[in-house]
Amino acid sequence: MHLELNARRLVTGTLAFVLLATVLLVVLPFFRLRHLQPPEGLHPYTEAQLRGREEYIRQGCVYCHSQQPRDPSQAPDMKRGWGRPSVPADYFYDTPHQLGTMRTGPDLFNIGARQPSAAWHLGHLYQPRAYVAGSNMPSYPFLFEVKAEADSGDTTVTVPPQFAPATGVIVARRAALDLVQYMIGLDHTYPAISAHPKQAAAAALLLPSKDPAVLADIKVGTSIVRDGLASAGVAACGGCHGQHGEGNAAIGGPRLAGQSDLYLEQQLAAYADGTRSDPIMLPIAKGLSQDQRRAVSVYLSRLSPPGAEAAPPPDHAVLERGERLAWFGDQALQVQGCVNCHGPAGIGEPPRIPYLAGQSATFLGASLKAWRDGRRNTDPSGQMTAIAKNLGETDIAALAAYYASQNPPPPAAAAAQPPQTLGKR
Amino acid sequence: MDPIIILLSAFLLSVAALAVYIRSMQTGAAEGDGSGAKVIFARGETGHVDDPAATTSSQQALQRAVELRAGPRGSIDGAELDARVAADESTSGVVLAYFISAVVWLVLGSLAGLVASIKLHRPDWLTSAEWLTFGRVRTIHLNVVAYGWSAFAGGGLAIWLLPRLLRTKLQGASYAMSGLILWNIALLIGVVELAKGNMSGLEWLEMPAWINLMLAIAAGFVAVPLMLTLRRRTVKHLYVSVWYLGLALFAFPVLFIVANLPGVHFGVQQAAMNWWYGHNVLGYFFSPLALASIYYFLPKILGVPVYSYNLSLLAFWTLAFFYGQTGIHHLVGGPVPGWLVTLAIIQGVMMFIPVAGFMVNQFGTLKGCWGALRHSPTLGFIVAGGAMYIAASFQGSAMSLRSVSTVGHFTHWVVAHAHLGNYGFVTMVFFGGIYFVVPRILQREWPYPSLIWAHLWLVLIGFAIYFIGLSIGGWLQGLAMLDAKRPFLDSVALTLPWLKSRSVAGILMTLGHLVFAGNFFAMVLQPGRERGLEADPANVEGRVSHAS
Repeated sequence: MHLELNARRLVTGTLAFVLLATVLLVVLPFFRLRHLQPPEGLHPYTEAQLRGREEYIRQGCVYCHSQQPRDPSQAPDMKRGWGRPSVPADYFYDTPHQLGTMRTGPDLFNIGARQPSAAWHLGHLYQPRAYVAGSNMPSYPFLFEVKAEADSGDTTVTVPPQFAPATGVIVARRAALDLVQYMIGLDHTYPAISAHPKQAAAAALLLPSKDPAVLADIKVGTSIVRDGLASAGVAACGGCHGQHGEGNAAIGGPRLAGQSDLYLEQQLAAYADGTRSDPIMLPIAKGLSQDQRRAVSVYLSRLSPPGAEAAPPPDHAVLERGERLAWFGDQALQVQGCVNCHGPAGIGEPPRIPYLAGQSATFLGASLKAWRDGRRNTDPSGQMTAIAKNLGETDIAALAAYYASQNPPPPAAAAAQPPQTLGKR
Repeated sequence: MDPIIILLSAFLLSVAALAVYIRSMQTGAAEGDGSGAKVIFARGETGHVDDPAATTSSQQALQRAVELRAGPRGSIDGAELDARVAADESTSGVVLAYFISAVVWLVLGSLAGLVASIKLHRPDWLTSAEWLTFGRVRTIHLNVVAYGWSAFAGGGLAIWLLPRLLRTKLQGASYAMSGLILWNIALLIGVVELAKGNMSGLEWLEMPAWINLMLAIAAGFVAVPLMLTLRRRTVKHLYVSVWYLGLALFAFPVLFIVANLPGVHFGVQQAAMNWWYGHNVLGYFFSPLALASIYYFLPKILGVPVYSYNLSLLAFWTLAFFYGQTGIHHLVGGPVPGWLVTLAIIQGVMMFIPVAGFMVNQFGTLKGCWGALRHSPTLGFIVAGGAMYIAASFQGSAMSLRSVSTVGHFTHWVVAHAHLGNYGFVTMVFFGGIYFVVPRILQREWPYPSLIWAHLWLVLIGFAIYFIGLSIGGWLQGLAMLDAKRPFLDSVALTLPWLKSRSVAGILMTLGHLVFAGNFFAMVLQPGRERGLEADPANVEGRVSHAS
């Protein structure tokens, strides 16, 4: 009896453990990464690059070169010019993967951006020590041939005389040319915006900091934006403003990511005391303590807003009217140009003046009407109220359409300002 | 659902299940007279040393060395010994074929490894032939030593051990032979394909898909006789070695098939799969085969039952549970989801439990018998292997930590660690096992006993140089890479002396393997002395059968 039980336990027990590991390490990642989409800046490989990638595999390059820069908090890969930490979407076209676990040579994730010269790569493959003294990379003479003279269509390779053959010219074979095409195509310097924001956004788009006070604010802010503050009846900011402050055009929730921390904190204070009147924001702003408002503002100010929404292009005439109003205003209406305060193309004048570029047309229109109707009184000069009162409905729509089509600035602009606070911490 | 919640609940559930498991297995193992640890001995056999590779005088010295610990010797039950001889006879032909394959692949793999090692400090050596480029030779080395040497040596030991442990004859030996032939053919073609550059690009899974299919079919053939034999067992209790063999037997197909599913894996998910496989083929296949061997040979040579049988049980189940989830530490700092890395780190540290269990057992079993090491080279290989298992596992736990990994990741330090596990542990244990088994299956003595010692010292010294040098070089390389002010080439330049020391080590180790291969083939091809009755001290003590 015991005997049977024992053997059965052996089989079921070991299989259960092996399967558990398989589910955790293979199946779960499969389902969580399955719907990844390629980032906008990542292009599919060309035919030549794909052949070159095959060659990369055939020569076993992966045994000495990784393709996965580490996070700056762990290693100075970025300072070596190897690029930002990679995200899963970067590997959309990379099967089989070539992440690599060895750096006998440098990381190659961005070798194409770092060294875009095909001639250099060809010479370096032929004889690495001709270009990098002290390199222990193998030379690959078999990817080249030495001819008496080059035929038409041949790609010749020039190396320093002491590395060149006694007679004849070095001609690259197709394998070498393809391999180089692959390498100079290895350029992942585009922003790491994943089409699957949950995967990449949080870590990749947050401006890093070493200041412990800022880190503490980011921690508190992240939690409030994501989960709200149940004890004070504060809803999660992310619900209307996006998990990463990217805004929600459908319901008119403005983008907050990358707005200056001072501006955001001022607005929360204005909501709380009613100088900016909004039934949804009022209880939220009141529910947050001064420190919590500060934390949320600091966190949001350090996030990168994504590019302008790809909305259906508005009427060209409307855009033109908006652009004209934005840059020059309209003397007949006694309206000055928005650029006077909001900066060229609406990128803002941090820390006091918010950016408008990339905000949704829904929000921008509603906001101008709020100024016009006296629901916003946060401009001590009264300019915004005056401007909004003088604009007709069509001009408001034109301005909203124009700024919605512009790209917002990176968060560095706001964060570069010396820290300012409304009150004592 | 949040992955953290999945993770946490899976973890808690599993730890709870594990506790129940261990508890129930302990009560099961303690059934009857609680003699689970003694099932590898015939009645009256404890106290009798057994090293078929030792000379007559060494065996007598060995017996004296364990006398204090092992206690008085009784007379051995002849019927049980006869059954064991029958078990050995049923496996001898097959196992010999496995060992011949293993030794041939070992020599080839060593040479490939040596060439690859030299190329890292002499990059313009042997560059005219494409198949000799570093990327290919290194890959050939890995595949040959893993799927040639280790798989055949471990497979041969498993086939030899199982009938002994189950007290039955091997069933379906022809399947094992078919599997061996097919596996050899597949591997041979596979190596040629690798030399031609037809590599998959995935570490540990480099061979082309159709080769992997052949290997899977061959593995299926090998599994048949093991399953059939398991069904025909006549023992009441499955000894701990059987569990480890079972783990290897059941886990490998899951790993190999899932890893080779066509058109399923992609991008970063494939990277996670890659290291789930790459790590578990060691932890769930090679390591269990070697551990099964240690748990058999160590007590058997000394004539002393394993120190704490319950502890061996705990070590087994905790290894089976924790090991499988540690592979992603190979991607610390990489683009994989953070919770995967965290899981790997946690379970990597939890590996302390099984390894500590093994450590207590190895040293407990050896207690009072250390002198035996001077008389039995077989024991030397086994004990050195066990010690390096402990070292490799503790090092592995430490390496999975983020802070250690920050320095060690991407460097030769990892290569040194991989060899500590695959060479220092697995290969050393297999050497010891083969020295023990071959005299039993050929009924002959090793023709040159002194060469066994030469082999042991060559590979021990060679590997010490290998491991120490490459670990230092790798660590310095990691520190240099972390300092952005130092040019990258610094991290290359400072490894060169250590890479050279690794080549020296490789020469010593390869020399040791050639000595081993020479001794082995001398034994196989040229019959030495017949093993006489007086050659076995156990016989002098009134043994009734003609062999042990």
